[in-house]
Amino acid sequence: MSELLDAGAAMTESRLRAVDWSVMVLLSFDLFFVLFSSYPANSFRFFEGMLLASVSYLLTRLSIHTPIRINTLSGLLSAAGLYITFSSLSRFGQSVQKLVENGLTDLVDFRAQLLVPVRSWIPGEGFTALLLLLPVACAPAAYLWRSGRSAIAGIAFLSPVLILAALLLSFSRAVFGASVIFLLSAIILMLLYRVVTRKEGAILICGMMGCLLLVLLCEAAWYPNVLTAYLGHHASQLRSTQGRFEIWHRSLALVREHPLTGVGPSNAGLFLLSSDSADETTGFAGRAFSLPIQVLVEQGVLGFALYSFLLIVAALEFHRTMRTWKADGTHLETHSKRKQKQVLHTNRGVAAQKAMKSCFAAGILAVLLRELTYSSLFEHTATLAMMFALIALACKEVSSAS
Amino acid sequence: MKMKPIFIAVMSIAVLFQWPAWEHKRADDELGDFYSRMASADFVAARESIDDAIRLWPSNARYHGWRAYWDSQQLPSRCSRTTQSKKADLSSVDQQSTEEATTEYRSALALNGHDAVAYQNLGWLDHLLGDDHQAADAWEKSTELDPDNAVFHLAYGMFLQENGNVPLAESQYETAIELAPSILDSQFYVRYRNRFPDQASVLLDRCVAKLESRLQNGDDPILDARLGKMYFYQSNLARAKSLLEAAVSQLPNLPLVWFNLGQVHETQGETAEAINC
Repeated sequence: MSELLDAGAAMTESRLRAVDWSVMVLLSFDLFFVLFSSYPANSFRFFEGMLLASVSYLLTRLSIHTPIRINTLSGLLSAAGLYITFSSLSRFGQSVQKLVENGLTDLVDFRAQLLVPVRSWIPGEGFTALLLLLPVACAPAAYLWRSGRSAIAGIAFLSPVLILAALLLSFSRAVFGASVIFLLSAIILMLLYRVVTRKEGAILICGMMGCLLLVLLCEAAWYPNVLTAYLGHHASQLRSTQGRFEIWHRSLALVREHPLTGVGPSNAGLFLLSSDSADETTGFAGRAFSLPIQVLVEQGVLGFALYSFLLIVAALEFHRTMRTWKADGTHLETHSKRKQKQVLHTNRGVAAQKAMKSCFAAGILAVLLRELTYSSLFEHTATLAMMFALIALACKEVSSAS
Repeated sequence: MKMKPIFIAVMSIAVLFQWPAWEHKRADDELGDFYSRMASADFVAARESIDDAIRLWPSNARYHGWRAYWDSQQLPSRCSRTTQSKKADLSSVDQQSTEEATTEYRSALALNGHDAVAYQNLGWLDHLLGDDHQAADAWEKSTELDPDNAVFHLAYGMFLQENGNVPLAESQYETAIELAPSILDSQFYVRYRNRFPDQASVLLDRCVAKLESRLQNGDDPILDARLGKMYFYQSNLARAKSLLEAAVSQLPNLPLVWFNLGQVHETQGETAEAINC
């Protein structure tokens, strides 16, 4: 029975679904810019990144079938995340020491230069990469926990906690918000798809928020101004918000000039150099500081519609794969409550996979939330490929194999 | 439809794309080599590197820009154009370098029409070759593309002044000083003040008045810092100090503001505070 179910799942997996078509359509659309863009040399690099991201997506869809493979991939990626975390934290300590020695204790104003990972090793924007690695590090812990191996899950959970510790030292409100959203949405998804009971969910939410607070308090004891950093009262933070509004204003003027297909991928920086407005002191802007606005500027309304479509079909696919459980060919929701409990209890493997998928989906949500006020996802092939791999993992069929 | 054939197709395209991508990577390596050769003043090897980069990726505007830069580095550092002759007194070698640089900048701009630096450099070269009409167009374009770049306004102002358009030149200087008051310490401003002391003083007063009126619309630490520097230059130390202190208290991560505040302390004889800054 189990083999039959696996074979069925594999067959569904190998067929192209709407989400796969959507990725292919996006890839074809981006090929257009290699020839027709305001500056094709920049767009070529972006297409190269998209191509590798599509390969990573398809490869994940095709080959990462079983929970053991997902866990192996997650383990490898979280090891990379830990390396970035440790290298970032050690540099953070050194930078803070230098500032404090010079009597500069207000770290928030120096946030841009404090937590810089080893640049030669990590090609993507540091915090985006760490945010993308957070769900990957969390997934094995969630899987082990739902499989009933709580002790090993506890040890595995140390990895996301360390990544979280690095993210909380970013002094970036968007990164902090994204981390909170990740934890909350992962638990909410687990609750919605009945991976955990309401009671477990409530305990989890309290536990996670407590853990977050504990990490924050430990960091505050070690470094000054960590807690106040997220209140957003610093002049540099106010200027940062104000500057973003000004850049978005410039960006939307560009969208009006090039509405349909935009100025071409990776060309926003060329068109946003600076503003002749006498009231602005924002100066040079190398990016749009918002992913949706960047997509609108670079790929126009058409590109924006295609990316939105990809996210919508990915969400629908996630919902379908989470809702459908093929143990007896019927939906889990059609069972009585008592039977649902029984099914969840007897098939921990399914719940464990759903817990992992919840982490991946929450990770996508968190990164997209952060990207509302930043635009780094498309800047590097590694972050783009990681995002597409996360989409593929979130859209995976749930098999009965544990 | 099955996923495997699609994967194979995408993988094949990715493999095919690796060829141009590899060429581009090599071109970037050549550019890196060009930078280090230029830094070590090995100009012959630098030229070879940038030519190789262009051969590997001819549609990259940046390489053409650097090739033009290489050509223009062969020219004498001072403009040899006089008020009597419309064209600069260039040797045949310099003439050739100027023309080659101009051609390369035009190639760069044909590929990427948003390169403000290329326009600004082209402006100087056109001016050297005696084509002031094209030079004016190039400078206008550079200031239009990147209006916050003080150097572009300054260069355009110098050109306008040389051509006798003093009011417009002064307006460009004014914008430049407003954007970057450090210009007050530059060789340009020292000479300008020596040649036209009254105009230089009026210009600075106008900049101060403009920034003061902008500050009345709301506090801005960047404007505080700029205005503080201007007051320091005007020897209004008390006002300069209060503005610079306001700027560093809000944005302590700006090194130039600390430096300027240190200068104010030093002028006031407060050596310990100056060193602290």
